[in-house]
Amino acid sequence: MKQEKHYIQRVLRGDVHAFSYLVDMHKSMVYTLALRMLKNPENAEELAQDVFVKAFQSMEKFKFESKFSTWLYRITYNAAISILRKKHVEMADIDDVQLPENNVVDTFNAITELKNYEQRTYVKQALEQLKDEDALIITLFYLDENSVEEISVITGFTVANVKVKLHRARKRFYDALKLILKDEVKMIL
Amino acid sequence: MSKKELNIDKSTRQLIQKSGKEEPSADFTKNVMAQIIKDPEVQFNFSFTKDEKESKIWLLLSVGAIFVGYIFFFLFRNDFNLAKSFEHSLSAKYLKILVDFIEQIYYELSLSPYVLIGLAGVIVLILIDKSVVKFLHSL
Repeated sequence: MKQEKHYIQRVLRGDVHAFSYLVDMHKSMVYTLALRMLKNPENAEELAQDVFVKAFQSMEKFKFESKFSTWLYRITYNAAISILRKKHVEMADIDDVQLPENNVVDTFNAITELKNYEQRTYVKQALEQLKDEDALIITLFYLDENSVEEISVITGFTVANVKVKLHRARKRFYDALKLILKDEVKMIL
Repeated sequence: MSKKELNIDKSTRQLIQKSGKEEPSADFTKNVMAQIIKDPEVQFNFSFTKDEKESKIWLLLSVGAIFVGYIFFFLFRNDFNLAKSFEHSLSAKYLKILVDFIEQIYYELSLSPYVLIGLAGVIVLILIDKSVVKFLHSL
């Protein structure tokens, strides 16, 4: 983190090449978020590149009030949302999800019976099937271990709203996972 | 949060972390940096700035080093003999020491070819610095 601050300050002083360190440090997560939202590797790569260019152009706006990653993810989220809106992708309400908590536990138990590479494959498939916002919140919270407060800063939702969305996104994730695993789950349960 | 909720959270985290982060193409950083350097809009925002604090420190250090260097040079010329060094100054006593010393500096500075070489070096360095900055802007 201290090293990151050092590189940010170098960029702010005009050392353009110091920015490549920041790109290397955050490119995986920015690309993952872009991919989770856009569901297309080419578009995600393009978006992730644009995010870093935009971040460089706006570096003087970064005031160290949040983590650099939080600031970067916010740019990623806004850029992805902007693309999705242009493409008229439906931002559907998720209130219809009512998966019982037991199903979450059953699905989790079922997937842990599988081999590691199978788990990875199915989890990725389930994440790909989630709606962009669900996938983003789940990825930020569980993969990158951002707090609910940080996700609130990134997305602009209130903390309470993030908690509700996270809870529902998780249920949707297990729902998607259960559908993918239906044969395996049936065999195990 | 209930205990059950915490366990589900922990388990979900374990599960999702198994999927890991996605990796962009191998040329990702290179492409981003190329866009940053080539984009005229980015170049507009891009400026070489000097660290004011750092340059002041270097200025003070340089002045100090030149002064100390000159004292050593002055003493060296007189075989490190303080009495000999200040022979004339001592004869004129007190205030004259300072005046002689300043006169001596002026004399050395006016006649020494090293001073001219030094000045030429500074000018060359400034020109090189300007050329490098110009070259970087033209990328």
